[in-house]
Amino acid sequence: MENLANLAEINAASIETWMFYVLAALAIPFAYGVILDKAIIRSGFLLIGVFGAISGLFLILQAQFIAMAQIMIYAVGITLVVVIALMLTNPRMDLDLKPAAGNSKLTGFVVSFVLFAVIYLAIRSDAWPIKGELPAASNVAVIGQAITGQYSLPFEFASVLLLAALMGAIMLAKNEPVEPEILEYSEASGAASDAEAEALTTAR
Amino acid sequence: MATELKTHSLKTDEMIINMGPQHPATHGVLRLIVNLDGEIVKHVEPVIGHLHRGQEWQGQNRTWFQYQALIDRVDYLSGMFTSWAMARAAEKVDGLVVPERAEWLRIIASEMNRITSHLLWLGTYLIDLGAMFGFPFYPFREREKLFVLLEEIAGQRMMFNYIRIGGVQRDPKPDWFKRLKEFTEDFPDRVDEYEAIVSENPIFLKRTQGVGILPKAVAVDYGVTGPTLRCSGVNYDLRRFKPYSMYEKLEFEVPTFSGDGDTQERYIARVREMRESNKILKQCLDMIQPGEIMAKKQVAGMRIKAGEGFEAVEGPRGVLGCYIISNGSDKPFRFRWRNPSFSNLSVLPELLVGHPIADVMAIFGSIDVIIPDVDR
Amino acid sequence: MGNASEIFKFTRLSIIWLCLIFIPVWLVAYAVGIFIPYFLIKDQQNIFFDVFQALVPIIAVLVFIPINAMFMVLFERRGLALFTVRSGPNRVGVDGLLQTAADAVKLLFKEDITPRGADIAMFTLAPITFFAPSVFAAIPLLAAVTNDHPLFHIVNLPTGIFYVLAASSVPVVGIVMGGWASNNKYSLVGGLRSAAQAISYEIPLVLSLVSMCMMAKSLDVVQIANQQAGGILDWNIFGGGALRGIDKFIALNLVGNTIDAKTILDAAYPSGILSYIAAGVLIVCSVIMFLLYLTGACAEINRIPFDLPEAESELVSGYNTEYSGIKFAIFFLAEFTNLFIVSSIAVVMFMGGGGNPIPAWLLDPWWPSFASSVGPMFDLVTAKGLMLVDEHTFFPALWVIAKTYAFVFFAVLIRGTLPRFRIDQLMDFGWKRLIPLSLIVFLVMAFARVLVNVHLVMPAGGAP
Repeated sequence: MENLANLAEINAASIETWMFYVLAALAIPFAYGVILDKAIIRSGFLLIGVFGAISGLFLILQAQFIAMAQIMIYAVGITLVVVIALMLTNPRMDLDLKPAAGNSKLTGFVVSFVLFAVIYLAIRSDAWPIKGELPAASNVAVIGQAITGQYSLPFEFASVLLLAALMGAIMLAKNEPVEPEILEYSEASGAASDAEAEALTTAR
Repeated sequence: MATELKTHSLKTDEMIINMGPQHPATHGVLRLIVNLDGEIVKHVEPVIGHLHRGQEWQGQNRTWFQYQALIDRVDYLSGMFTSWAMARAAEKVDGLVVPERAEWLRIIASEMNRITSHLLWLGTYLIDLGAMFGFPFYPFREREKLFVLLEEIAGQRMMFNYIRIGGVQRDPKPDWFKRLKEFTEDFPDRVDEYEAIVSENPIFLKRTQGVGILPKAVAVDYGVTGPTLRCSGVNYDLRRFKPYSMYEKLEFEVPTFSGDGDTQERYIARVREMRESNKILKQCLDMIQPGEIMAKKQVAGMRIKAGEGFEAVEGPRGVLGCYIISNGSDKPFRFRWRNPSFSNLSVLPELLVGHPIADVMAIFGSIDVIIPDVDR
Repeated sequence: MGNASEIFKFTRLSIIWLCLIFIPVWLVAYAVGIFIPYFLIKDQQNIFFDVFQALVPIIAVLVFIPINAMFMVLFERRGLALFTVRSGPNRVGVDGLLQTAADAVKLLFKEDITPRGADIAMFTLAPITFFAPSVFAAIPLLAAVTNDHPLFHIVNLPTGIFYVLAASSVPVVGIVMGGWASNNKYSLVGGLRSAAQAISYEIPLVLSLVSMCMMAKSLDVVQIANQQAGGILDWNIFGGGALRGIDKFIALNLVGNTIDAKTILDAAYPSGILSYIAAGVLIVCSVIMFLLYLTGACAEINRIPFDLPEAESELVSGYNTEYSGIKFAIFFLAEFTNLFIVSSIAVVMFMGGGGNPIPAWLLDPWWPSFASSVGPMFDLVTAKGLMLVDEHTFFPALWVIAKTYAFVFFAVLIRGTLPRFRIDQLMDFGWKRLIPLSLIVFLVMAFARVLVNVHLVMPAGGAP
């Protein structure tokens, strides 16, 4: 009975903390898997796991809308596109991966170190203001009003950017069509045998 | 052929898929080696022979009487026609004259068989197009009625062994004709029913119009016969152009299309043929007179005079011919079948190239190939 | 007519099975939600009191889904048999009652084969990824279908429909995963097709639902369902509530209320003739949206005529060609659960949720007293003021089930009739027809909505 009483004392905040650790413990191995897995398609699927865990983190932060959008757009849409692109170019991903050349290794190291430093400094800095109030219960409405009201210009800019990207994608996909390999039954020979067929038919 | 399907300069690999011999849609044990670029068929190679039973060799090692019972297995959906082709060839060699009533009964039985064959085709073709569950059962309802009638005269539902050398096996009772009459009265309405479901269905039209076009020249080159040939603009039907049996006395149309046949036209042709066969049945029922039905005694040691001859009949799939050499003994010396499915199948690669993989079965189904008929 | 007895048997079978579904769900919900907390734990401060109450929706769904899927398989097979002049499975149990249960047992005991060269981890994960989201998606709908019963109130999210959509868009990942992991070319093509199809048909599907959310000014499924209460004229399929004013007008004229009926019409259609035109436009648009939803949903759950990922005549069985035993059973289970879920979304979003189809003004004289006397009869016991079943829960649940199964029946009818599209035609149809159409209709609805006061709520004291 004492145990139960102790359990009852665990408040909501600590449950959230525990959930954070669980989700982080899911997300980090998945993220490592994305980088380290040799079968590139499998790392695509692991990416879905990462996005799923991150959307869980959003849920803990009471940001339901963002969490759902995360699942719907990132976890499903983008990853599927990645997977399809990979599949269409290279069905079974058992290629020999060449180790990176010396200087690109160095570049990679420098870039990742700088990135790490930036993220670390950003997290350690004190510029993380915490609002005293709880998130709005219907945060979808708040987001909608913000997008169409205060932030309508950035929203429009983002839309134009997406449109440009879409048009670029279409232009890329609409590559010069080459002459189809399979030609129809050619007109000339068709006509010749047509006459033959006529003759055959009339003979009968 | 599908001109709208262009290839792009994007570098992609081809994929080889083995459709069959164990594939749910190949109507038996046909194997198609299909080269795919994405979903577009680049090259097809049919591999036949999985169902080869040596029908010709079997014939040469059995007596005439014994082999009559095996013939129906050559094309199990139109057994009457295989029997008839063989019987006509043997009669030609033997110089037999078949009694008139037997000829009428042969026409009745084989037109009934033609209807059952087309009905089965109709059902399975819709399965090929993806209507997996609903429609295919309706044609089987009518097919069942015909099989009940055929079973009564032949003793078997599909392996009839009804048409024999010299006549037919059995004279049906008067009651049988009455029931067949009832069926023929009812059947056009049932065909209307099928057409109401299928013919105007937008998805059906989208799947079949302009798909699997077979130009006239290609069809003639490959020796395609039957409704598939007639859809490509060649009006060639043995019943009309080299009339045998009593077909001269009958009035019926041969559905022929002027242009290059696509799968939709093959569908229309077969449905119309069912109606025409029904018309023939009605006329036969009016014209048939009492009389003898057999000109040759059916005994185990039955002999055919020495000689050779070829005779063909117009089966549901095309011209079905039989070439016989007899040396006067109770066994045939040499047998040779001319099967419509074999020639029709050989044109398949021409039809498929350039179509998406989904159309492989739609086109294959539309030329109505029976694998035992190909492999014998 | 020989079919009459078959139809009778079919109906009898359905009723027996529906009882078989709901009795366990009801018992489990009672045991976990009421009996254990109120009679065993008693202490409301105890954390397990809340835990058990919070577990009710999950356990109810977990009990409901397998039994329901078993019934749906039987329903589909018997229904198809009805359409195709056959008898269907009628040997196991009374009229084949236990056929699918027997099939399920058979599948459980079958050997679970993993093909050579398969990616074992992905091969095993695929059915789970396919099935789990459908469980998640079903949970928030519980609140809507039971009219926000206190036990299910906890799952009523403010982003309800968006959550359901997000959850039901995940299964396609499972299909792609299974298709790739099987090391089979047919499976691979099936998985790819499924991905392409899901992406292209999700857009009209979501737009049609969003249009209804726009009419309702909410994403909350319970709120959307409750807004449509009051008879068939208030359902979203007829203008998303644009007929509410006329409905109330008729009610007032019949009852002879003191309020001037003209005020009602003026409140609902503020801009005169323009508003009436807008209402007409809304009705047409919402019917189009409903049809778009049905099409998109058919494609989303891979039903004929959009069952290309498992097209039998081309791809053998598509993504689940290599699956056997329990893994195949899970694929199968999830497919039917998805069908049920899209049907119930259609009911909640378009068909009035748990609402009575008969207009309220026809029923008002006798229905409330009848409902309040009949509803509680189905309750086991009233615990601490919390009734598991009363008229606010029982009849809405009944209506939802009836309407949902009407949709399932419709899906079976479609399956029994139509052939299959080809993949390029499917894509053309999706991108060139459905998506532009849905965008245009959505825009028109947004403009028309401004002119009509949809889902009219009268000021306090004004309602009849």
